[in-house]
Amino acid sequence: MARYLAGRLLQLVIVVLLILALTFVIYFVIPPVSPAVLFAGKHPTPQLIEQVKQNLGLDHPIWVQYLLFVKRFVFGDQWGWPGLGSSYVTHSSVKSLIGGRLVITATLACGAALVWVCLGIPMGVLAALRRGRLFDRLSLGLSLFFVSAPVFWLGVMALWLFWYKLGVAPGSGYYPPSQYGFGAWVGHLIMPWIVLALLYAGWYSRMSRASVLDVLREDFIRTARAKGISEWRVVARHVLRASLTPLATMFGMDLAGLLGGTVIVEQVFNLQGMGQFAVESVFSGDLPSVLAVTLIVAIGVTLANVVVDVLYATLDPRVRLGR
Amino acid sequence: MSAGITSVLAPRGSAHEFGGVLTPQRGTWRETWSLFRHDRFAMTGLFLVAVIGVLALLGPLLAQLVGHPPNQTFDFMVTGQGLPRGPSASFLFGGDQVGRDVFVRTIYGARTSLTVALVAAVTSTILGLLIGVTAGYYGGFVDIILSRITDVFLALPILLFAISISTVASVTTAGALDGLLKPGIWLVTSVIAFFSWPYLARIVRGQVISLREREFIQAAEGLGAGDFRIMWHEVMPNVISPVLVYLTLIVPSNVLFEAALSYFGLGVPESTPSWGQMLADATNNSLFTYAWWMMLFPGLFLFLTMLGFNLIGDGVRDAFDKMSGSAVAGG
Repeated sequence: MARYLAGRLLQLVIVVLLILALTFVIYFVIPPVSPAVLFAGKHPTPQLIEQVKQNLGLDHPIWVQYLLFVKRFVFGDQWGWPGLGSSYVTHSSVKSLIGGRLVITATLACGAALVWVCLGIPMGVLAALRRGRLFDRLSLGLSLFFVSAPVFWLGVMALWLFWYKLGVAPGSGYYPPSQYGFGAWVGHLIMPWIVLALLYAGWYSRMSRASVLDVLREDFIRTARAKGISEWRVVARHVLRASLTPLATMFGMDLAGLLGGTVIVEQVFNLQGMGQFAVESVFSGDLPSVLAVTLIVAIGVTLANVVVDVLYATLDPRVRLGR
Repeated sequence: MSAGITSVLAPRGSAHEFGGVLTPQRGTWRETWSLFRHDRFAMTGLFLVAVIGVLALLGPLLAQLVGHPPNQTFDFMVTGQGLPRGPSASFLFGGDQVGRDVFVRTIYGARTSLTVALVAAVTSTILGLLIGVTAGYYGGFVDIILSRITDVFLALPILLFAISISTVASVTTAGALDGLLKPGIWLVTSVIAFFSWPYLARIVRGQVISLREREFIQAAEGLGAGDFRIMWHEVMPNVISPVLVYLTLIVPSNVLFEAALSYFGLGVPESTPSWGQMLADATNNSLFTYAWWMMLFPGLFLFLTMLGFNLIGDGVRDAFDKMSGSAVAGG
């Protein structure tokens, strides 16, 4: 296990360096203008550009610039750790801008995850057990709809129908529980949670259906049935356990991926999360903030993947022993 | 699928579904097609995509027929209060916030969407094949490097990186990298292609590694065939079925990707109608609460396109699965 962990951590370091390199290339090499001009906001003064140049170390050769970029991120800068720099548009450190928004994005992601697991997996399992019957067809149709309906369309349609026409749901916006109470907070999050969850619910239902059907064909299920135990116990003790384990790994990765995948829902429902922050920053010309969000989310996803892998390896010894 | 838009994009989760696809033997393509043809859902998908494709091709003709070029504004389609007017006999899908014909723009949106999705799909297929075959065939150090890079791309929040690239490349109209990345439809296409190859690369690599050990490859080596000849003549034909399955998954995902980028105003330029952009117009100032047609029609077309491609994808996968299943069963 120690050996597996060490190997996995070494890989993590390499991957983080690669992510930093890609981000560096996008922001420091690709732009047709000097990164200082890019970072200084929409209408920078020459003095500001000069100052940004100093802060980013742009008078050094390109590879030194990259090392400085890595150094700032890994060891922190004058605004704390990790070094995310400062926004020249809002004149504050990017780190302070991101904190609260990360909480909103995480709330959105976790709530949606709960919805899609509770909706998608039972739907898929039941469909597999009722293969070819009406429920199976219904659930196949529904999941096909969920997978094909674009989130921003579904979101706007839901707002139009449930908020504007029927008046049964509150409109968009984020209502912090400390200020507006628990009810308003949950109320305004229900639609975003469901809309975000439906796409995943569609995939999870399709995958758990396929997975249960595979397991039902296995010999050990025939053995279990031959032992004479009730069909209900066959399903609960043998089928579910074998068919849902592969979904567990995917769940971890999907949840992590959602850090960067909530952008559209945040935009549609006007929730001030990380994604909306990134999009707003693009339009206010606040590139250091876009860079910071991109980097934080990419590294967050990578870290979460490592955690999932390690958990999986503790659960299943075959993984850490190499296939 | 998901990943980023990624995670919101479908291909992420679906990579798992590729798994057991075996390549049909020569001569079984006809049987695979016959399985596909008798799949009612798959044929419905094909029909949907065909209809949207034909409408897209006929776009300019339709615009001429109704007499409303996609970017022309009609003042009488906006009320005194500046609100768009709804569907009528000459404006089938109504008008938008500046008085353009939503019907014509929706049809033109299909052109944008399909062009971007298909060109990006072909480009990322070539990239994914090159990287996957190289990594799987050479193994060792080359494989380690290429596989790590693939892993990084798989973990990236694709939408955020796409937003980053589109932003830095759009700072000046001349574009970045000596004009290689110019703002516009090609930038969108290349950004999408650039972030969608890893799924294919990973699957192809796996297949090539197992092919590498097969006798016919060793036979070719023994006969003195060079690496390129082996890769092109022996390896390539054996990875066609995963490539086809990948295409059926990546095309709807690209359609969604383009719509999302345009929704954020980072996709195709203003002058090119796009479904994402039209939906963003409808969302602006909650205009959709009044002008429901601005949201309904582009969204419906987007949905039907996605549905069509997803149905085709399911059919292709089922047909390959059945073929490989019967091949195994028949020995």
